[in-house]
Amino acid sequence: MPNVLLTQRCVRACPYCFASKHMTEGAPDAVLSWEDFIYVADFLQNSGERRFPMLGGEPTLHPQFVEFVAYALDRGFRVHVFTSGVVSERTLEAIASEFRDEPFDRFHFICNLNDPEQTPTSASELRNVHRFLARMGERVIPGFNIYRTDFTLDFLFEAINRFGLQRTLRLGLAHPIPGASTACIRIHDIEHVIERMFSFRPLFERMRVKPGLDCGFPMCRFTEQQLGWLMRHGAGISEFGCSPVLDIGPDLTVWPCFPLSSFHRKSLLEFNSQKELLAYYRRIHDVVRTEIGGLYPECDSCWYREDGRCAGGCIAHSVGRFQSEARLRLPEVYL
Amino acid sequence: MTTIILKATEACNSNCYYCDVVRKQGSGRSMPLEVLETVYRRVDEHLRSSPEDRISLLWHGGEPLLLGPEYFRAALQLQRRLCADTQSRISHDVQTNLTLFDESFVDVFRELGITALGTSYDPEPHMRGPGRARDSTRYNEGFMRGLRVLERHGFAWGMIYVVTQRSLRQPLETFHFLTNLSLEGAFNLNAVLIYDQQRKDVAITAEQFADFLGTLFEVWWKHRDRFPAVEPFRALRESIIDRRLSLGCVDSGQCTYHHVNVAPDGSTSQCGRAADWNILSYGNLADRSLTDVLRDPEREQLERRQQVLPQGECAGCRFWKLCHGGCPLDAYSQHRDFLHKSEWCEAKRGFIERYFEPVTGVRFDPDQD
Amino acid sequence: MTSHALVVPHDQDLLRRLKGQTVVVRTDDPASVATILTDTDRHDLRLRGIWLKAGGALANVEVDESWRRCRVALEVDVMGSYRVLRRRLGLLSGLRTRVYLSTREPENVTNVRVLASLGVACAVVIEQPVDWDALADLATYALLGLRSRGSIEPMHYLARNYVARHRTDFGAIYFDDPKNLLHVDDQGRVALSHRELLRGDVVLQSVDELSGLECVEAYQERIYGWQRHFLDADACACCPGWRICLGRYLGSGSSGCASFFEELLDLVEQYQARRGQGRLG
Repeated sequence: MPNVLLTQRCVRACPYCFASKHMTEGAPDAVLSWEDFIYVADFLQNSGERRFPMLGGEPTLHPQFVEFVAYALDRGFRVHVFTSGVVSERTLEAIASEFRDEPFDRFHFICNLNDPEQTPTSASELRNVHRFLARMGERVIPGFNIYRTDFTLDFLFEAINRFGLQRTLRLGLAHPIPGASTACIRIHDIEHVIERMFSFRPLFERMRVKPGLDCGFPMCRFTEQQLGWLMRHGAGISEFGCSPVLDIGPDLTVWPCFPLSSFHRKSLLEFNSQKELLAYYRRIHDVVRTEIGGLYPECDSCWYREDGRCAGGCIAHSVGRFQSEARLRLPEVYL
Repeated sequence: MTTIILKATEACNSNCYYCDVVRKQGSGRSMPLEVLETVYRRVDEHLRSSPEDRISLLWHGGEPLLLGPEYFRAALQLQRRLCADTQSRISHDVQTNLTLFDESFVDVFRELGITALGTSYDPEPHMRGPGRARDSTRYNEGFMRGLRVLERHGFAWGMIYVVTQRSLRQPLETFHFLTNLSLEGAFNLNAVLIYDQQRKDVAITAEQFADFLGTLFEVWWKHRDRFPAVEPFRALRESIIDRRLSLGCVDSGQCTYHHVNVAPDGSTSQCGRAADWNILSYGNLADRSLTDVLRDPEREQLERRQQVLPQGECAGCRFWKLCHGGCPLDAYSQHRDFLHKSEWCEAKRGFIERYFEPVTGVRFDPDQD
Repeated sequence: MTSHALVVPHDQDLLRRLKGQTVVVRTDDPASVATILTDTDRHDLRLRGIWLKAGGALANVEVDESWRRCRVALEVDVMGSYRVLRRRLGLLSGLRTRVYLSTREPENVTNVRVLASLGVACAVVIEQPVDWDALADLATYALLGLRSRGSIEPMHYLARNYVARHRTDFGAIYFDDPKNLLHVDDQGRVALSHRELLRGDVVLQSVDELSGLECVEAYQERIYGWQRHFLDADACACCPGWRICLGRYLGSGSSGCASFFEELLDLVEQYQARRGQGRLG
């Protein structure tokens, strides 16, 4: 399911931002045109896709954001928007009024929230986010990117309760971005992060909030008990995958996922279908995994990886590693 | 199939720059009906003695429509009377400038079985038209009026465009002009034939003709389905790519026993130019049968040409099968002798080697079936 | 009576005179559509369609269920607010209504694409100023795009009707087709196009004279007007796109039309070739 970038520009400067490299390299003011937006809609619909994920930069900055969402809904898509929550009042009013009657499963937000204590946040930014959450509350799935080992989730539970957010929490690891230096979780810290995540189990249970794991978690770093708990209390079946997500830029360039935004960039126009596009990037993923199976030495012979139940962690770690080595591997693995 | 070029009149209502007919002495003659009657008698006689043959009567001139619709009606009556049993093997074609074509010709042409007219056009001002100044405006307006009648009554039409020195200035514009004008019909690009010094200013060389064709060919090839019937491209495509030899009289090497020109007085010759130059003359139909005219021993020199050239000037030429040395009259105009290849040979070879083969990616192999 | 369809104003006296005739009724009032339907029935007229020059924004036009009964050519100035328009989209895309938007407003070329992608039939009115590149892009979308959609004229007209080695005149889309359509004013005077009617350049003083139209020189000159380009040897006569344009935009101050129509012809041929192979959805 490809993500579609409506804009390049963002209103925040998160230390872990996956898109930071991409945004510094691209034209900052580039926005998706109507013509290209319609092309993407046709492309997705032709591929049998019913979902239309929108992101950026900050997608709500797009001058036709409300019209684009309306159009996608009118085309029969289910729209979800990845946002920082820093949305102008005018846009917020327009969203609230235009989509008031739209059911959640047809239109909702995934809002990545930063811990105001740990991530520098201005007062006005916080006000904007709170205003957004207050207005959109039940349309919002909260998300959190773990980029430091001493993270806390308390503020999220507080926000869920206060603003009536969806009782599902999307948790992601901040992965490294090859070629850029952003805050991220190192391989040797993953186990500790998982341990710390599970220390919040009582809160999850009491608040009846279901955790959902984003891509790139290695399954072997979870204990049997933790996996069992996830199965009981998680938001759906937990997957430990890492595969091309497909991001489509405002100029119709595509790349496999944000950490790999410089990796084998192509144009959407070169492909006839999503299936073709996925096959292209999956092939490259396979080449990388052939070189290095996963985050750990044991990934190479891991049965769960062979069986497809775990991908071996985020591929960005391996791709990043290749860049600093002598170029002796298969050519596809280099940026 | 025998083709009779029936020069029923040498009179013309235009003074085209590159035409030789209006320059002839005694021009303005028209074929009296008595002579036309003789023509039909000879045609019937020939068809009776040659049950396999068919006759194509090409009405030519000058401008044949100057004869008026009644003349053609008289021709139709003569045919019905004198060729009652053989007329099913007689077909008619007309080569006209179209400026005189109006409603009055429609019915009689239909009855003669004419469904298409051959014509020619030149967008260049003052190349065609009446009077010394060659009033091309008047000419073209007449042409367009004729075209309206053609289209209104469902006649097809084909066109000849004579390539002159002036054509070389804007070849592609000319090409698009002609293909826009002649959307449906066949369309022949012919090099101008100039034999005197006064009109050398419009003459072109073989190389220039090849380059002109080459410039057009790339565009034609890209859109060949849009305008398929542009000659010589269509014929070469069929001959080289489809491997079905499709050659006109100039290239077939087979005009020897299948062509005859009949002048207004009934005298015969190989073709129009032969008549103009008083060569290859075969006598008058008043005195000889058409069969004898078609078998005249003087034609043998044309037949010999097909044996001599491949051993001589055309020996080893890859394109012999596509050209057969070209028109013998072209050879005569340069050498006063038929046993030479045409000067336009270089145009054909140059065009095929420098343009046709590279653009299509197909190399002509004469030995491949 | 005439085999031509007559584009007429919504005038009772005139309609009464034209009993049995095929008509297109011209109006600038969306609310009159239902009345026109009633009136043409009452006067025993064959209604080919309604030419509604509503102007303004499409989003503000009161589209109605009654429009389902006939074809409507709806001319507006702009699309207007998408957020307002979307409330009517379901109705609009189900009607036999074609929305006409002029290139005078640059965003209209984009909006035609938006509307067509949502199943609304559209037509681009090519008027100065024209962004020919944007129009070419739209033509590519119309004929070779990924999905079928509402038709976009004149591209789809050409795609359906173009026959190689014939002239194809898409004027009928814009009611400019004197071989088949004539324009009548409220006094019953007849002109060959709407523009000429507005100028007072009539060819007949009364609809009662229609049977003699073929003999009118001005009519014959118009039918064969394409020949003038060859007589004048103008730029249109040498244009590769001529056979689908016929010099429609000569002298309109436009340049760039040649490359547009040349490209459009290629697109039409590609479209037809694909269709022949069953590759188009």
